[in-house]
Amino acid sequence: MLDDKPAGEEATTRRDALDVARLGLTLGAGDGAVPLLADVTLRVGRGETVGLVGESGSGKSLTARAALGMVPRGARATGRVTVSGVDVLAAGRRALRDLRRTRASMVFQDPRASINPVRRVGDYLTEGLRARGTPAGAAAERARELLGQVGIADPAGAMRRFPHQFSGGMLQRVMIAGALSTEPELLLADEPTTALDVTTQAEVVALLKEMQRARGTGMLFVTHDLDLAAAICDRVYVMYAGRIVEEAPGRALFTAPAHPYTRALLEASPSAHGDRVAIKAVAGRPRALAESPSGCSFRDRCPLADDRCAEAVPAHRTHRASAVACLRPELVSP
Amino acid sequence: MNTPVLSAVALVKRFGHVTAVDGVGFDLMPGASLGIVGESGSGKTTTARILAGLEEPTSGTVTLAGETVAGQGVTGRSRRARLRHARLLQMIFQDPYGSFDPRQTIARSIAEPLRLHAPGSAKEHRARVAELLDQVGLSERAGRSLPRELSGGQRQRAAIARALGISPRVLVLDEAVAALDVSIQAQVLTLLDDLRRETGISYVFVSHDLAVVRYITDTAIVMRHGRVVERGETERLLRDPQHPYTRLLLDSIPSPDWDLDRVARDRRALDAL
Repeated sequence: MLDDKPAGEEATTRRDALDVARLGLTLGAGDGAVPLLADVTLRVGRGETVGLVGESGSGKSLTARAALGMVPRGARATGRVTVSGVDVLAAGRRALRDLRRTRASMVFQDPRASINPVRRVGDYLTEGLRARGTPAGAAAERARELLGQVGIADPAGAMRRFPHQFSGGMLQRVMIAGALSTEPELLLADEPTTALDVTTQAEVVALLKEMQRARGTGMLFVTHDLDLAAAICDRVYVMYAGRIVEEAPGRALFTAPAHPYTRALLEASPSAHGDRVAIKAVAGRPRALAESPSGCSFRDRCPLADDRCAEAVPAHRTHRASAVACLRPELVSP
Repeated sequence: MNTPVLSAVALVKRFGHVTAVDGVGFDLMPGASLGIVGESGSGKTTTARILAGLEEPTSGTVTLAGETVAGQGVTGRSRRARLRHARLLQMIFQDPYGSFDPRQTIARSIAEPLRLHAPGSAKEHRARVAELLDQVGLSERAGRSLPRELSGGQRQRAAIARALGISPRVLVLDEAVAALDVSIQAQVLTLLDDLRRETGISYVFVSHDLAVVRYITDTAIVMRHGRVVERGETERLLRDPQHPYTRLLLDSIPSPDWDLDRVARDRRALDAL
């Protein structure tokens, strides 16, 4: 029994911040059942930044929310989600609340929609700390310190102000301070900079990266912006129609995309840097899992598709630096 | 061909104590495309609304096809003057959903400006609507749909079709592709590019997104706090930005070689001005 302890400790230090294995999500049951996610497998190591990229309906936000046990009403989840050792899908309400309070935090797109407008910023920031048993004085001290770290001038004054007295960028900094106040192992950032101006986005991202690096927090960064994901993430997962179609290191995704969808997205995005190149539109529109064709979901928009693509959902295979769900990635980037 | 189709001279717009637009001016040649780049609070949308006649400038003038349509000497515009303005210049907004009657089919909405501006029989109008739907890549079925039954990209195509119906000389697009998914955004951008080449229409393209502006415009102005801080050929602005703010905007765009320290340096250079 004594011998087990060190081994157990080592397992604890090595475990991932987030581990999602074959996650499926279905709304309703029987003939009317609507599938939302299928076979989503991803992991975020401690201190790692992982991107989850996709267009509308791809299921990227659903995946991130499911990681904290937030599934849509009436939806049934299958598979396994583990956040710092806690089995999220099997956990009760108390365990989940405890998890969100201490070990996993979330930052959303619109800070104004996720903060109580009639409570002072100081109350918002100390709430999580107080719930963990930190005395009021120490919690306030810690909150002021955090506000200073996220670049808010006059932290003591900011504690007394209301959310409407901050600009969008400043309020998002407050949210980041709140999310990191409990020193979580996992931070889920769902389009945290999409509503911000581009120069503010750069500042908030720099801050997020710095805070995360200093604390060794694992971050799942959900975004529609492939360039942003490639710029800041160690690894990126690309989602399409409720499935992960490619996983690759941030840079490789740019230089050598292995899935036709990833390449199509890159070719469709205009760039402000480098030589001016024509953009190529992708025919059709992004699909949700429920309306996607059999076999490969992308095949009705894919220039490389043939009959084999309709037979089954392609299994993930290794091609260069990517794990890709495509039968012929060598045609995408040889 | 050497007279601008649209000119703005020293436009100023004040709301109470706030000066939203402060001395903005430019010329737009027939068939040309001008970008107005800026972030929130830059005054880019107010400028666009003045061009479209939705706001009256506090001072300055707007000249459209040789006629002064806003500014000095233009007071209490008649219905006729407003109709002429709309006939020559149409505007497209970020969210097309808000600009369609939710209870009217797309085809009826597209036909409405025709009934107002273009004399003709109902049959002629129907034929023109079919032609317009085809031009923007929408099916007849989409024409029979209600706005809520279409996707965001389809609605934006419908808004373009409606604006093009009366063959305006200028299209003012305010963040027209900002709400669309990348793959759909590319479809709308290539459509706009093709339309300009085919019809010789001019664009004023208002956007916060330099990459999109690069694709769709020839020249651009960069706005900050209501003022134009830099102007020139779009390609030159991107390759060799002169104003610290343009440099900050450019370096703030994420890319695989993104250098956040450089962004911070740009910010300090700008604040030091």
